[in-house]
Amino acid sequence: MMKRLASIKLTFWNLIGLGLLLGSGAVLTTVKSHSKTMRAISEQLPLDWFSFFPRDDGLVFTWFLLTCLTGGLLFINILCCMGLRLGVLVVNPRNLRQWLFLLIHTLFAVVMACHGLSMAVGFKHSNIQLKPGQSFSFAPEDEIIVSEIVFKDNTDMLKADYQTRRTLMTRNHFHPDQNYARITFTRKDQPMGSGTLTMLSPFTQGDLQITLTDFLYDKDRPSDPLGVSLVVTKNPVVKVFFISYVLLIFALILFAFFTWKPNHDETRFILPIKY
Amino acid sequence: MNFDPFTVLYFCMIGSCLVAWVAALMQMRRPSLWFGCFFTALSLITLALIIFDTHRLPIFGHFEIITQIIFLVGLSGLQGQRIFQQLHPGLISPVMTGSWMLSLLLLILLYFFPKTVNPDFYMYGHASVQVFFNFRICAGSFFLIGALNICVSPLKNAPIHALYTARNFLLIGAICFLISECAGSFWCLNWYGDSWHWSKGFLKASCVFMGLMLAFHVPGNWKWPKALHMFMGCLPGLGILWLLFMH
Repeated sequence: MMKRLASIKLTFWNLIGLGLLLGSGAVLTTVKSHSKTMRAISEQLPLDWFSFFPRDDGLVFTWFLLTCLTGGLLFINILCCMGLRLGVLVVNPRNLRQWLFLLIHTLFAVVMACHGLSMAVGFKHSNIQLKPGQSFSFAPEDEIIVSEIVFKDNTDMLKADYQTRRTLMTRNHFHPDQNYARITFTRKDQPMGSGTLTMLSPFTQGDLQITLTDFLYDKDRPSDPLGVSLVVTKNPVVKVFFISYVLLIFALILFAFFTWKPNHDETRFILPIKY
Repeated sequence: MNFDPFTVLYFCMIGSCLVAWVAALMQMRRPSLWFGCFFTALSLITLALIIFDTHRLPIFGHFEIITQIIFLVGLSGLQGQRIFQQLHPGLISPVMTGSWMLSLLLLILLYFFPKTVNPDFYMYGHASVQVFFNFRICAGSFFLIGALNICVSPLKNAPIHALYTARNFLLIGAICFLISECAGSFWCLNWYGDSWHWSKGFLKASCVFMGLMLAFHVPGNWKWPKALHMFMGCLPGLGILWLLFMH
């Protein structure tokens, strides 16, 4: 059974299946009747979306389920493949190629696992629109309060629509470090931390991240027009995800370095080792 | 027609690339090499001008992408010829001929698009954004060079290790692609609070990554026609074209 689950044939067909599913997902995001549902997956924790989704878009629901199942099968396939390779290395521990191969697959499995876990662990609250003095409660005893919003550049760019705004927000006209929001994070009404949010520079405390996604301008309230759009996330595996991702890249560089010259087996196709 | 420096450079590049390719087809080694060197140098000058003009690395858009790809493809053609010449003095490497042809096709495609840089956006000042876009172009270039080596491998005068060279280029492309995706995830984390988005861009990139992994996971004991094996090796190159040009 393990040999079957570790087989490269399963990997091959699994990759084809997953590739087709991801490709069709990309198409679904462009179909008007499904794009809103696809966007909704990103606005919260995918597990929450999956658990509480009203099921009115059966196609996206089925697509998501199939993608997760195929990804899960690929993960099992990698784990079993690693198990078999470990067995080979016990017999012949001096094979550097095999060690590097095992390392690459192990790190890839860790990246995949983190990816899967980040869909199910923690929380995500999107599109939180706040003005100075307003607060948002994301857990029974936890909340964030926006104490101040400063926007020193020309606010005309905030009044424009999305496309115009993009052309106006050049490096000369928009300075991320001069436009910010100050927030305070409280637990049981006691301040736990405070910080400054700028674009692309979120506030983090432990696994909690508060991200500034946009500045808002309320034309109907000229005396107090500025607001911010925030995302509050808790992702306990994000650090492991990035560390293993970087290590995976280094492992691949090492693998390329040590296997650059063809060995006696070079007549084979592009597979670097014999199965 | 507006003859700004980029347009002039474009016409010089396409002209010299055409001459280099025709010379290679006619087995005129020296003219092909010289004109090949010339258009590769022109693409480098264009890249330098793009960086000087925008204060950032090339990111996206047909002009910036194609200029960087033909620079890397041109270099690989010249390098391929250098190695080939050691074993076959006086002959032209099919890798070099293929590189000129690929560059020419991309330059013909560029004819239909503006020869201008992308408008500025404040996010382009961030390293993660530049790395994300630029390493994707690097990955695309290496995938295409890999595909080129695979395509010339069945030819009689193909370099001995063409398939292994293809494998090496696909591997470098994979490293560049992962660096790009990692930087992209970091950008997404800082912009949207999450390292992944269920959006068209992320799904397309993941689809291309599956194509890349397919190239490295063809079961060795399958008696498939060679053309099918070759197609698998070309998948990342085809996928990245979809990703880069059908934005």
